[in-house]
Order: sequence, then C-alpha cells, then structure tokens
Amino acid sequence: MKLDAGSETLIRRYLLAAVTEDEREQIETRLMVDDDFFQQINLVEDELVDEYLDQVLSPGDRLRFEDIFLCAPERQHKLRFSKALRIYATNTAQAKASENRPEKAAWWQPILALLNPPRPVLAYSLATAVLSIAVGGPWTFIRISGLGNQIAALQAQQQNRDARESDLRSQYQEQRAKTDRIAAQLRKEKERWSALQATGGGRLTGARIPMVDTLSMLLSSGVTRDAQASQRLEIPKGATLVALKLDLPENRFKTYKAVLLSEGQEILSRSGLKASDSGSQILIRLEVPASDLRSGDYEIRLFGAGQNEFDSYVLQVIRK
Amino acid sequence: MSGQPPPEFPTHVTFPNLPFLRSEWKVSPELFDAFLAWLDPDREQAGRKYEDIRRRLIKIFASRGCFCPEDLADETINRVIVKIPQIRENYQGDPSRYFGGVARNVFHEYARKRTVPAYQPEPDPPESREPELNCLDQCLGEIPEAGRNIILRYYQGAKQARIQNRNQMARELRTEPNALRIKVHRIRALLQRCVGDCLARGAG
Repeated sequence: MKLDAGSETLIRRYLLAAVTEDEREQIETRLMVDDDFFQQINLVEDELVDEYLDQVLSPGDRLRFEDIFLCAPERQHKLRFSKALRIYATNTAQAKASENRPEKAAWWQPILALLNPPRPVLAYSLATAVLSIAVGGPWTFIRISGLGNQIAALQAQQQNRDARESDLRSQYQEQRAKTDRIAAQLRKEKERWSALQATGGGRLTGARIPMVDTLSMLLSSGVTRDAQASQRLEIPKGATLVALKLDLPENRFKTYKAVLLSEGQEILSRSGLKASDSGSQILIRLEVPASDLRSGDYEIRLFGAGQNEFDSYVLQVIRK
Repeated sequence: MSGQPPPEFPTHVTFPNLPFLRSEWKVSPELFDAFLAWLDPDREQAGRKYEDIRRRLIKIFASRGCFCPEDLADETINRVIVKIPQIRENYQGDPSRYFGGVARNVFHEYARKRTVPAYQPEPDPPESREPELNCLDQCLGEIPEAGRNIILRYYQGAKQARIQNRNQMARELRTEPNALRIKVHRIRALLQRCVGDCLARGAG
C-alpha cells in the first residue's frame, strides 16, 4: 500500500462529510477501483478515531465526527475497539514499568549523593553556596524584619500627625466661622447705632437724647470675661427693652430656659424659649426690660429643656 | 479473504431497517451466477471481488452518514444483479465502477425518507470493557510477538509522548514513519476483526 500524502487532507474532509458533491463523487469513484486509496481511507479512519479519543479534534470536526462519522455501527465498534486497545496498551506498559522499577532509595541518599559529587570543584562550590545561604540568610532576614518594623512605626507616626492636623484644621475653621459671624453682627449693630445717632446727632451735646426703644445684642457663649469688649452693651436713657440674641452652635432641644444672673444672683428667668434658624445662625431671643439691667457684669445661663447643663453667655452693661 | 468459500446465492433478502427499499428486487440463482461471472470468470475470484465491492460500498454509505450502510450496500448490489442482462451486453470497463452510480441513487432514496438516530455516546463503565479486553488478550496471543510488541508500544503514552515514542520506534525498526503507520494499521485491522468475531461468539 502506498500512501498519497496529498490525499490525506481530502480523505479527512471526506470522512467528516466536509467535501463538495463533486469531490465526493470523485473520491467514491476512486475508492471503488483504487486499492491503495481504499486502504488509505481505512488508515485515516483509524487515526481520526485516535484523534477523537485524544480530544484534539477542532470543535467543528468533533461535531461532524459525532453526528456523521459515528452514525454507522461499524465505526462505533471501531471506536470501542480503539478504547480497549489503548487501555490494554497502557496496562501493559504500567505492568512492565513496575517490574523494572528499582528499589526506592532512602530519603537521605540524594542529599548524600549531592555532597559526594564526582567532581571536587563542584563539591566545594556547592558547599560554599550552602554556607553563604546558611549564614547570610538569617542575618538578612533579621535586618529586613528590623527595617520593616521601623517603616511601620514611621508610617504610624505619620498617620497620627495627619489625623491631628486634620482635627486642628477643623477646629480652626469652626472658630473662624464663629468669629466671622460675630464680627458681621457687630458691624450691623454698629451701623444701626450710627444710623440712630445720625438721626439725633444735633442733639448729642446736651441736646435731646433720641428715644431708643429696643436694643439688641448678639451674644456668643464661651467668651471669657477678659474678652468682653465685644459683649459690652451700652444702654442709653430711654431704652425700654433689651433683646439679647444668644448664638447657639446647634439646636439640640425643642425649648430652652434662660436665666439672667448678676453676681451669682438670679435676676430673671424665661422658659419655653425656641431657637430660630436662619441658615447661617441659630439664635434664641431673650428680652429683658432695660430697667432690670444696671451697670455691671451679667451672666446668662441657657439650659436645654429638662437639662442641668447650660451654655454660659457673659455681658457687661454700661448705663448711660 | 483467502480460503473463504464463494458466496452462497442469497435466497431471501430483507431490509428490516429500511422498509422503503423495494422487496421486489428478487434475485434468481441464474442472475446471481451471471453476476458473479460478470465480476470474474473465476468463481472464487468473483466471490472475493463481490466481498471487496461490498466493503467499499459500506464505506461509501458510512461516509455519507448512513446508520445502516450494510443494508444499503446489499440493496445496491441487488439492483446491479437485477440489471445484469442489460449491463453485461453494454457495459465496458471495471465492473466496480458501475456500483458507484447505483449507490448514489440508493442513497438519494434513503436520504429522502430516513430518520437518522443521533449518536449517543454510550455509558462506558470499566466493567463493560471486560469482554473486549479479554477478547483482545486472546487475539493478541494469536499474532506473532513482533506484531504484538509493535501495536502495544504504538499506543502507549499520552499525546506528545506517544508521537515521540512512534518516531523512536520508526528509527529502531529502521523504517519510515508512514511505513510504520501502514504496518500498525494492518495489525490493528486484523485484531479488530478477531475481537469482533470473539465478541460475536460470546467468548470474551
């Protein structure tokens, strides 16, 4: 039998039904009369079965193999036979291998062999390498561990610094916002006062003092007595009412109670006060008859409803 | 094939899997004799040619995806036999060629009416292979040791290792890889026939 190398690809396609009708007729005509060609088809059939079992056929070829090639019972028998032959061949090889396998060496023997190589130069090189690793390895490890710890400590310190800086920045911004609010209020009041003075300005020098009905004053909590310059109220003659606007950082209660004290003595108290939120400020308005306020230092304690803790506001009154 | 008696005249042919095939293709003994004579004047040679033609026709129908190629091959041969009076007067050339055309017609009739059962990979538990392995063991014992060693070594190993092993075998046997392929194919075909007969006998 002679194998026609050029025909093998065509035969494969024929067996997988991937040929044109003309190609098929030519092949079938040749198949009926050419002995070598017929035998080659049988050979390629066997190898196609082997490729299928090896799972090396392309997905398309595999599909055609299963859908078309394996339709005929004869080819299904061929497939079964091929499987059996492979199993038999594998079992035979394994049986032979176990017969010829040498006695299993002890575990230390390969190491011993390594230390007694055929060439001394190799032995010395190996010994040097092993020694270097044995000595250098732990030292390097310790050094690296130490450096690692230092790095971790530095990173932790850095993180703490970052957190503290962030805190301080927040506090600064909060305080600044508060100061800005107070400064703005003060400007307003001054402008108002100036305006009031201007209307009655010709009478300042012994002339008629303008009648100011209500005075208002913005007070912030936490201002110490030393810094009371911005919380000093000058009450002119004729003022009847003082509206004290207590600045709240946040509105935590439905109602509040305010107590006005002078030298520790309660002057007046108001309950049921509600905060008003203008968006930029939260204020509680406490109205005090001007007649209740003499020159001196005053404290306003603001309680949330039912609370014992309070915010403290200080005020210096100057009666004119 | 050698040593086999010439085919007996088929007195009755049925195609249980192919009900659409015409059962009136009744072949008389005279026609069958004329057919054999047309294949070859020597009846023994004619018988071999008959078997050979039948195998090739089976190959054609199997390659066309037919699930009963043997029945279709027999139908093709029957139709040729019935037409022998016309053929032997007018046809010139290798008789084998004539069968190809008839086979195509048979296939077209089959293709129009067939319902092909799809191939279902059968469950293949280890115990199901035992009869085959037993038969294979018997059949390997019947072939010369050299052939046995060749075929078993040819199928040892996995994929790439197997390819290298085969190249090594070819070098050791001082033969070309293609020649080795052909040798293995022949041994395999022999074994497959032997195993098939063994299983049919229930000897596995």
